Order: sequence, then C-alpha cells, then structure tokens
Amino acid sequence: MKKSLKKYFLNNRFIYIFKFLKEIIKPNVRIWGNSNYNYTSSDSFFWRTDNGYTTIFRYSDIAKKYLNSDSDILLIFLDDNGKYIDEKIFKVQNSVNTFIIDSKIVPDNQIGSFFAFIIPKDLLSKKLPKLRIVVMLDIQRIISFIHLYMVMKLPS
Amino acid sequence: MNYFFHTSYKNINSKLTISKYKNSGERNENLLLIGAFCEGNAWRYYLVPDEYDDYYVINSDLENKDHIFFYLDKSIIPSNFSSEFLLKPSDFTSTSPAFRGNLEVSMHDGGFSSYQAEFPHRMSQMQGSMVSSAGNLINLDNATNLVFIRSIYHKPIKSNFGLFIWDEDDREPLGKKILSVNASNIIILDPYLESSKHGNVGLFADGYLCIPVFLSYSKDGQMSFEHTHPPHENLCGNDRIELVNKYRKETYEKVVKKIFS
Repeated sequence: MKKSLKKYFLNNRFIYIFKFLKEIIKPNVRIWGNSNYNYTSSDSFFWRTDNGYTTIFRYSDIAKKYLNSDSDILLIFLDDNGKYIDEKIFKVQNSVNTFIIDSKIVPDNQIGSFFAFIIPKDLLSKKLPKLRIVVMLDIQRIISFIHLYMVMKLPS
Repeated sequence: MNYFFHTSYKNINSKLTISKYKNSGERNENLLLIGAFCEGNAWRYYLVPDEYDDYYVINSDLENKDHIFFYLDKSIIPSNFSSEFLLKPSDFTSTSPAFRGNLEVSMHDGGFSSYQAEFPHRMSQMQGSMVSSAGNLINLDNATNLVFIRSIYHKPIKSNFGLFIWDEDDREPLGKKILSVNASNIIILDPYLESSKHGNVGLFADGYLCIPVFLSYSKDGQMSFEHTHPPHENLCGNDRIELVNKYRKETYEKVVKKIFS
C-alpha cells in the first residue's frame, strides 16, 4: 500500500499537477505584462573564476535606445548555491559596455550566477525595494538557470 | 511548431542535432524528420537518414546549407515528395519549456560553439522586417565577425531583399547587402565594425522575417556563436511593442531612406 501510494504521488502526472497548482498559488515566474508598476527584469547569467578564468559581461544601454533615458545597472552576484555574495551599481556609460568579473568581484576559483538590472534615471533617486531578497530566495528553488527571467518591482 | 536550420561557410561547418523526445521524455513513433529545399516553383522533401536511437544528426556542407528540417507525421508525407507551399511541421515541437535543436558550428582544427537553431512556423507565414544589434556579440580582439541570417518563407521562392547596416551610436548608415529568402545568408561584419565609432552596428532586414546568429572566431580557433533577443523581448510592460515600433520606424526613416536617397 505504502509503495503504491509512493508510486502514485511520484508519477509524472501528479508532479505536473502539483507544479501547475504551485505556479498559480506562488509562481516562480511572475506575470508582468499587465502590471501598472515600474519594474525591470533580468535574465540569469553564469560567472566563473575557476582554473584561472575570468568572465566578460557585455551589455547594451537599452534604456537609452528605447526610452532615451540615462540609467544605472545593478549587478547581483550569487554563489553556486544561489546565496547572495555582493552587488554593484554604476552608471551605464556607452551603447555597449564591458564588465570584467574576476576574483576582485567574486570569490576566486568558484562558479556562480548573477543578474543584471537596468534602472532608468527617473527611478535612480528612489530607494530600491526589499524585493531583492525575495528574488534570491526564489532562485534557490530553481534547478535550471538558463533563460530564467527575474523581475524587480521599483517604486512608483 | 518549428523548422530547424543549419549553415556552412568556407572552413566552417555545422552539425545539427534534433532529439526524438520532448523534455518530458515523450516520443512519437509516427514522426519522421524531413529535409526540405526550394527547387523550381516547389518545395522538395526527403527523409533524413535515421541512424541513432535518440536523435537525428545532419552534417552541413555547401550543397545542403540552405536546407531546412522538421518533424512530419508519416501519413501526410506527399507521395511525390513535393508541394506548392511549405508543409506545416508536427506540433510535437510545441512544448513548454521550448523544444530545442542544437546547432554546433566548428572550424577545421579549431573550436566549436552551439546555438539552438529553430525557426518558428508562424514566422514563415508572413513578411515583415527584422531589427537587431551586433554590439554585444562582437569580438573586436583580432577576430573575424560575421552574421548568419536565416529566413524561411512558405512560398518556394528565392527572392532578394535588403539588409541595411548602420552605426548604433549615431544611426549613420554604413552600407547595404542583399539577402535571399529561404537561404542561410552570410554577411562579414568586419568592414562595418571598422567604420563604426565603437564597434556597435545595427542590422535592418526589410522584406522577410529572419533570424540573425552572430559568429566570431579568432586565429587560434576560439569561437562564439549566439543570437540576440528580438527587440520586443528587451522590454517589458504594456507599451513595449509601441516603443519597439517607434524605434523601428525611426531607424527606417534615418537609415533605410538615407541609403536609398
């Protein structure tokens, strides 16, 4: 009986239904299409400093391109367990920019992930929300980081 | 529903791998992988050799570089292996997370790099334009930079259409190239990068929807092969399509019209 119950609860259909319900109750991916909030989103990226590697991160000034707005970029670094390491925020200078991630930024000889949020100028003077912490807690439950989008709500 | 494509150029060849199962593990034994190409006024089809249990592998060469590939149910393969319009792929590849192919490009005696290489069926049903930026994916460190531009249109035609190239920093036109529909086009970007202020060039293809994939390789064989997101995926919010259309329109006015004038 115990074995058959276990088999039932672990089969693909049950897992699918469980994930579907969980997405409705507490989604990992938030739907932002119709939101009235100001928000910025980031894909997730890998960094590595193992075996002498450094990571070169290149990014575009999409706020200038589409909104004609100056902006800052906020980088949030996590280790390979999804734990917060550090963050950097600085002005986006050019249409294409390069940021080197090495052992001055993150621990040496490790791998991890990071997020990059573009924040337009008109929101820069306002205090950034605590939602960042929630974002990081969510990350720990996600197995694959590839093409994961993360959204940050900003002050209105 | 996707088509898959590959490419080939001088000393660069590719290997396209398409799995026989979805992410969930589901299979469909009624499906076959079909190769397709334009000839005369028709699409011609052939069966891709089935050599492995879990996936198909297609190696590219200069002969088959414009061919496309897709899953089709055995029962609807035309008896003469030909049709007036491009056949619709099986919905086997309509999955979430998305069904991906793997296109590995490699150099003789050099490195390799991979990209997913699918072309959505809905994009093959319409005409339009494509805007993209090369800036993030360019290697200015003594490397060769080029872009593969793939278009698939449902009619069996090989018309030409224009690719306009400009400097992203000041939107000054840098040149124009001719692309062919239903082909894997290759454009060397280095002359335009040298003419631009900061090595950031934009591309505007006018006539057919297409997917640009950027390739850079250095003399020691290091390679990078990657696509950009469509512009409307750079933004979120209710007005993102409006903002992208505004940018597209401004680009057309400032670049395309200037080149024609």
